[in-house]
Amino acid sequence: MITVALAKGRLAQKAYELFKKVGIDVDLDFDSRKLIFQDDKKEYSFLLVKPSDVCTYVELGTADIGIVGEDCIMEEDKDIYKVLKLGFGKCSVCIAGKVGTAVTPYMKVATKYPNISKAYFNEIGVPVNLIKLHGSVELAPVTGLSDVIVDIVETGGTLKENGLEVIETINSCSASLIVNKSSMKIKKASIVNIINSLKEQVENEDNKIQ
Amino acid sequence: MINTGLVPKKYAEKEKYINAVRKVLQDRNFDFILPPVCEHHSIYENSRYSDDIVKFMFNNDLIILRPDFTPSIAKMVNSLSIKKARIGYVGEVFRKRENEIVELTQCGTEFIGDEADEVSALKILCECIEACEIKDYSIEIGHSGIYRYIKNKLNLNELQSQQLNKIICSKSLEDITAYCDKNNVDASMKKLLVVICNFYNDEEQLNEAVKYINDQECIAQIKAISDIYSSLNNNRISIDLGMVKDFDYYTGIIFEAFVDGASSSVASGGRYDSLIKAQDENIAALGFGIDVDNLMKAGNLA
Repeated sequence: MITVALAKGRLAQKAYELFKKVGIDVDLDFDSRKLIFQDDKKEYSFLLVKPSDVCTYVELGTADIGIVGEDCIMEEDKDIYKVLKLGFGKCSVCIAGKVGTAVTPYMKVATKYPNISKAYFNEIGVPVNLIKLHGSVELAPVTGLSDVIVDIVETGGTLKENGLEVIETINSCSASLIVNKSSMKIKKASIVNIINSLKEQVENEDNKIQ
Repeated sequence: MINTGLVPKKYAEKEKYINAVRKVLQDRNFDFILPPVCEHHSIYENSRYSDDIVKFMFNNDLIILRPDFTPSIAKMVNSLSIKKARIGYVGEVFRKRENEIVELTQCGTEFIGDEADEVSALKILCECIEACEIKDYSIEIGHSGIYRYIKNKLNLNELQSQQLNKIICSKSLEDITAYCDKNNVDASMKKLLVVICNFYNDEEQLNEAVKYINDQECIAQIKAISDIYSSLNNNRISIDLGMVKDFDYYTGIIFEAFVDGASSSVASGGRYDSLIKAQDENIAALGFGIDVDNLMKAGNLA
């Protein structure tokens, strides 16, 4: 059996649609509160987990494969294979602040992504004070908790409504397929099969858009 | 993790695995030794992942808790001027993970001098895994020289090397392509990087890689992998040219074993010909360490 961990939320719905298109279906019901779904033949099992936990499930081998945003993959920095970008769930990890704010040394940075932030500010050689938050990060510069934030930006709508703007883009992300290292060796045939059919499907969809 | 210690039932289970592996090694004439837990930091100075090592100050010296056994055993062997031996060990190693000290039990081997032969080492590793009633396993072989060749060709500093290293270990074709484009990597090196990130895991990967390597020494290293692969002729053995190790002391063939149900590799090893010396002369050596805690997750010893 192949166990798949999906990042709960919109990403899971899109990912599940993709699996259905390549013939993998477990009658997943997003309206129920169930978190685990299996097909009748017990070939596949799908887990719905918090996005930041997908990498953990895959690294420890509880799930063989997972679908999660690259922002989580970068932040979690786990020992896994990252085999395929899936083209949906596109966003950017950005530094944002009140209109007109610039990146300056020793400023306060609020973020859900302390590891990505630390790595980036180290790389550009700007010392900053990090403040770890768990949500509503946009509130931090508005209330004066921080000078800027590091967060994912899709359309920029939330930033705009709170009077913020993107100062710098750190990285662009999309949903990606990750694989446990042991599973890749031991269940190689099934997993390579899944990778190839997802890849083909993603490429077909890309061509249609063009 | 296991830092909580083991209650009787768990400890008895673990002992079974340790005994099974130790028995295989004793039957194969390994002499067991016990190196110290605390070592001077200098024996790990060149380790790539020195961030993972547990260090502390003691009497104005920087001391570490051993993160693996090989350098400590090399030091002991050096002091004895042994030129040929099969050495076994069992004990705890310590790593720093997310601000915690993780304690792992390793059981392993060192093949020293004329004993240093990859084919017999890999056969013994298979015996150890099978002694734990594990049927589904896979061993991959690579060469430490391949990443070294790439690092030298691209002229990378330590930080840049760590970044590339991470991409190779994650086998992300998209990231490796993006890396090459961003850093203006030339076409043949780009192709080599793509080849070592794929999942063929057989001789096809070797044949492809050779086309893009412009260095006789590195080509000879690929040939060495090919020779060992064909003389083992075992469908559980495959090839991974993209393998990169945590420790920099490897000088030749490297390998890792994977089993169903364990999170990462259950055994890891390779050749290190410059670690052991007798009268200033390098002595050939290779070995592997088995991660007993990980092995238990996949084993079936009742």
